[in-house]
Amino acid sequence: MTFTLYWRKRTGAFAPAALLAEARQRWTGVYVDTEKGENLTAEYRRLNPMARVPTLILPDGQVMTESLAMVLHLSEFFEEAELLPALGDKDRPQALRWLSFGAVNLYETDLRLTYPDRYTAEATGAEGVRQAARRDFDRQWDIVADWLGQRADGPFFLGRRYSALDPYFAMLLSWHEKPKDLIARHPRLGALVDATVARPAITPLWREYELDRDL
Amino acid sequence: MTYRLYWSRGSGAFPAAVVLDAAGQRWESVELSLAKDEQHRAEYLAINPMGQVPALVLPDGQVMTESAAIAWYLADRHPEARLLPPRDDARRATLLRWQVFGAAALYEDEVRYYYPDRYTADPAGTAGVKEAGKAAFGRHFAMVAPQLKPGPFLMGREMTIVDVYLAMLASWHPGRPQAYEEHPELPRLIAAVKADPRVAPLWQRLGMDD
Repeated sequence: MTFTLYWRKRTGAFAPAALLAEARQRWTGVYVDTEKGENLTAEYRRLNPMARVPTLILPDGQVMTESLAMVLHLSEFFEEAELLPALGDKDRPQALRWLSFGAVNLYETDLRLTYPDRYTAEATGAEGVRQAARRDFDRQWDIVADWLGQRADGPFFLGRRYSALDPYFAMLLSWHEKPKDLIARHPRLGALVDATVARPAITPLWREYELDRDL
Repeated sequence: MTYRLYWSRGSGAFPAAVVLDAAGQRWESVELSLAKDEQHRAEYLAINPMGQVPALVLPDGQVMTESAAIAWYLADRHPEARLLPPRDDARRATLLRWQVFGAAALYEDEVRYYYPDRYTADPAGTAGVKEAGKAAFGRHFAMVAPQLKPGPFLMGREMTIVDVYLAMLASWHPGRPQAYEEHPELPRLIAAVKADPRVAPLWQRLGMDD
């Protein structure tokens, strides 16, 4: 049995795919074309009631949703790939903190920007939601960059040590409306993306997921 | 050095406090009053630039934020609390799924409902955000309810930190009491979590019924 990943380009499916690739695993990809509504079928909703991409089926048949949960699980499952600092490692608290920050704040804020109508019950409310999301997205990236700035070493999130945080944050950054402006403001983020995309496991995926579109 | 937890009544600091108490860890308690906006004072923003509760200072001085990250980290770090199965237990994948769902979907929905002004730049737009937040919370909790069968917990009779986290969120349900009638798994979860001797005193002390 192997992993099955329901994916689509430019979605959070990139995060588990990156870890599977880093752990040198083969997986079965099932493309879900959300533009054609393939995520809205009863069959897909049985797996993922949120009708979101990605969904990951584990070799033992467990169904996972939530890209961050997949990242944490795969890091644990492929412990020998050292994709996250182990329990007891001094970097682990910060790794969990910032992954969670990425999922709860940056990822959610991107959804508000992309689908503002989901966040209001009023027909005319979307523009206000979008403006607030744009403001929050920049502020949240500033908070991440400030923290990175306090750690002089790079290029990765945890300094010289590559981890699951790097493809996750590179993906979030690629979703920014103007990622080049964001990088110009925070060069440390640009260095993280460059060093991450240069990894042999990531380079082809980055293109396949079209995360290079605006960069 | 001990842990230092910044908390406020009825806040997401609760699961962290449960793990620390269950593990028999002493922790320094710093209560913030949200009514007085203490979470936006400069000295707290230096700890958590998001101006959100909770924050946890670890014995080595590191600061953690994000309620789910803190809860999961502590439960793993202190297996003596018996709030997460060990690393080789396959059920951890499903627990992780609902932990992240709680933080990324349900918690966010709840903030949209209680603080709608944060989600729109249009002063006239708050009612619409509030309504959408309430609807999303109800829809998303309806997805959790079937996972709580046979229950009362996600893993049956074995309570984990994820149940504590979900019970906290369920106790904030803006659609109650109706939603509780539609999904009796939710009040059953809350009651079972509150009945745990590791939880009961803290539920009162941290103002979870406020």
